[in-house]
Amino acid sequence: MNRPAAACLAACIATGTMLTAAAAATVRFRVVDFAGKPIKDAIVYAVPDTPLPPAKPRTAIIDQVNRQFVPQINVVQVGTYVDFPNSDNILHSVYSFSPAKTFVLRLYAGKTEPPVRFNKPGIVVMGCQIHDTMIAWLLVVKTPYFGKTNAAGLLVLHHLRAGRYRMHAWDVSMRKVTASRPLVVTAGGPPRQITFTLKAGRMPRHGPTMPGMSAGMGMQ
Amino acid sequence: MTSHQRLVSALRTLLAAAALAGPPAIACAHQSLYAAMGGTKVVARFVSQTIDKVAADPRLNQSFRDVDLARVKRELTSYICQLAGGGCKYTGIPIRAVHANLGITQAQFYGLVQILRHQMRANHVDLRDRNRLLALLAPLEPQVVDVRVPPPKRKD
Repeated sequence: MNRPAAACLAACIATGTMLTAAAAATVRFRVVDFAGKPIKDAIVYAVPDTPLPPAKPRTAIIDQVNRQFVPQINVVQVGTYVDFPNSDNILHSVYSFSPAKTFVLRLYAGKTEPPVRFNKPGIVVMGCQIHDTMIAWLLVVKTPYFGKTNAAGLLVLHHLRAGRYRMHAWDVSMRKVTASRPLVVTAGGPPRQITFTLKAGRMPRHGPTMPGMSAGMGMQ
Repeated sequence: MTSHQRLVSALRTLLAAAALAGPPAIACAHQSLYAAMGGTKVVARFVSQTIDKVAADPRLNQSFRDVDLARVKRELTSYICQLAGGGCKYTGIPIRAVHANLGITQAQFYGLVQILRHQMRANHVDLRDRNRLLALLAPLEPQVVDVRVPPPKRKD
């Protein structure tokens, strides 16, 4: 059983109702560009208008492999911890100046660092102060209903509870904004099919610029 | 003996001689090596030129792949400033940690030293001051060349 279903089960027991198959719906998303070509690694998430009970914190992984972040595009629920295992085992200095999370995390060869918690929603762009071609994105979202499109631009979200949502779609070329529209989920019936058309572009080759960092080098 | 072994051997002799020579008899007591070389203006320039040349040399640039060179230049200038009595406090990452697991060979280390010597000369740094700086940098070799650190043991 996956997490949203587990969360629903817990909530339903708490309110004394029964979990039935009809209480949750499946929504299929397709993300394409203006030419109709599928967009891979687009992020789609659906935020319920009625907040869900808080989820138990989870841990996601953004690795460092051969001087790149893996995966480069990530999405987690608010409150999630992210571990940076540093598999290439060389020095990295991961940083973000994004309002949703500002941090610098030095990753030394032979050492582990505690995971970083992301407890504010928003788009976090990460770079490495040592390797300027390293870049990764992390969308921190207020919902357990999220995912990343496959090579065919497709994503299926399961177990959405009936109700009103705001659904969002994001491609890396959109930088700090998402495309969004309302969604009403009704229990039962065939799965909904929703297509998002986004302006897709290339992934930037360099990490975010570092305001005020270039001066901080210890020259007096 | 290959040409690179000859170069390494020659440079080692040179560095050893520079180290043995110690401070010159008529050194200016009040002037640091950093100031004698021309201060930040000159040092930042020969450091920048050295890093650019190393990063462009396919025999030497393996460890510089994807590296933010501007940062390396700033950090190295600051490190030299501290080392040569220029009054800076190097606040960067320890030298060994910077080079760990980069697989830097002795040939690459001495290749950089060779370029540094040329760039110091090109910027009119005295032979005596060039040797003094090389003598200060030579002990870094074990913190730079072939520094291997095993991955941490993970609990899971």
